[in-house]
Amino acid sequence: MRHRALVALAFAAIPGVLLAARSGREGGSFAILQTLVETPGVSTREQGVRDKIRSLLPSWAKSETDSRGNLLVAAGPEKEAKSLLFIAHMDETGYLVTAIREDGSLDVKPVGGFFETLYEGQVVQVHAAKGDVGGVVPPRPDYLDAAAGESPGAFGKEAVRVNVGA
Amino acid sequence: MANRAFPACLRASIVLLALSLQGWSSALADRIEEARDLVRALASVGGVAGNEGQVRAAIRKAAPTWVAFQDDNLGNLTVVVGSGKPSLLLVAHMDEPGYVVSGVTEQGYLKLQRLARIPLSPLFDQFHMGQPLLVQARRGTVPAVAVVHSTHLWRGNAAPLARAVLDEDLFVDIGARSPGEVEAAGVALLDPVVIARRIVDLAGGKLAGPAMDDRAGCAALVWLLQTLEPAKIHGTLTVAFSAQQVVGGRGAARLANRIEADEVLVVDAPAAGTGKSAPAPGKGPVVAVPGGTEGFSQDIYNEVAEHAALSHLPLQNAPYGMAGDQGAFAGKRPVLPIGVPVLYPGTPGEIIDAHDVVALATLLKSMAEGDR
Repeated sequence: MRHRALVALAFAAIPGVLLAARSGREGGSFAILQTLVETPGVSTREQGVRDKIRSLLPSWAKSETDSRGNLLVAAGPEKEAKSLLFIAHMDETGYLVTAIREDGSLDVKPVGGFFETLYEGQVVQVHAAKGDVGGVVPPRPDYLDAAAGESPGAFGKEAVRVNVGA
Repeated sequence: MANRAFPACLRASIVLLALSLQGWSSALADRIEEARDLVRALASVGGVAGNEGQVRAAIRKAAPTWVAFQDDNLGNLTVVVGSGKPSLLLVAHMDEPGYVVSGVTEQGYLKLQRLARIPLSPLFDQFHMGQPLLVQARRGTVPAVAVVHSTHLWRGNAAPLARAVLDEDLFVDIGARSPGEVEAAGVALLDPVVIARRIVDLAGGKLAGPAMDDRAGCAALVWLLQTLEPAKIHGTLTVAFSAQQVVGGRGAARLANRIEADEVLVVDAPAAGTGKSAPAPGKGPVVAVPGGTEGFSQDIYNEVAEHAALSHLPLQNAPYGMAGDQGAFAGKRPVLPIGVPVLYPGTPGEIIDAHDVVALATLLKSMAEGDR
């Protein structure tokens, strides 16, 4: 029996490294970047990033969110002849949890194009509704065998799961 | 109805029992959380072989104040408790597989040389590609990233991984754009490099991150020091944290020559296994199968089994090779490897269970205080 679930999954943040990097920099721009980078936003799950951006906007900026999740801020006279549009995407690549297996591990599906080998054997965070949950993407079963080195890219799709210790 | 069926004194007893069980359960949960904190503290620093200074400092900080550590010029850290016979030596290694800076490119990238002689996954270097790293420079830790081909250039193309990634394939970016900027950042040749410390709590008292092998073993020995009463030690107990295990057990070889021990327990994770028979976190400490070509001590194994039974602790068996510190003692002293089981060993996401750390420390305490 598999339980359906949709939860975003991303690499675990490493505050220590980011803090160490910040010590050599000054100014608010790095603080803004750090805030946004540390906020997970797997595509279709950008709510956290959207909220962070909204909180960083100056008081004059009136924002609105459309049905796709885009955040829009307009400035200037409404009837100006020329208009200019700046766009930056809020989302990132990652995984969505698609099922919970009987053994407690999670099935996931990739969102966006990236090398799934980058997640193999790595620590991740599952961004669940009640808070973040730590996990590990188990490496391929034969990762210790010499044969694994002959097909280093053979990891991805259904082979990717998450062990949260359950 | 229920009041008539159960006399008042019986109801009071049930309530007291429930409260005491709740208290016991809460105390156990606190101990597991403390053990997990201890492992996290020891694993949150890097310790490439020959550069275990930060691990030594973390162990000194976590040990109780009565402990008088000695260190030698190889980097081993030892403490002796009690005196006379019998003598028991416990050894856990502090180091981990990693890299040293072997060069700097004209563009300011660092090149790395892997530093580990123990058998590693052929994907070990690949596990570092695209990941944040830490350069442990003399002036302090410098954050870095092992670069990866841009997904925008290579999307859908397996070319970057057409063959196994080796250490020489890694280009490490610290933000410098010239050798001069690398030098200005305080990074020098032979500085140790480890994967960044991403450590997360998992369900049920488990913990995941790099170098759980063998910081979990170190944590078990620190927990032992925190809980034992020196006056109760039977004979002499030497607790050693060894250096340079992954490059051939150099630290342990020094300990084997220096310390006259009747029995040696090497506290380490077993040789990796991935099948269903592999030892699993949360099912108790793992101990080597005695005898065999390795000649691990049957007598020590019997003592381990006896004390585990006395303390109602589960044990798991696993084959241990001679690649660990045990190789330094084999043939010289009766030796037996024992340890905390690690899932996905050799990856940046090694999983351990804090229950096993506490159980192993409890078992070792029972042995150190009991008749041998």
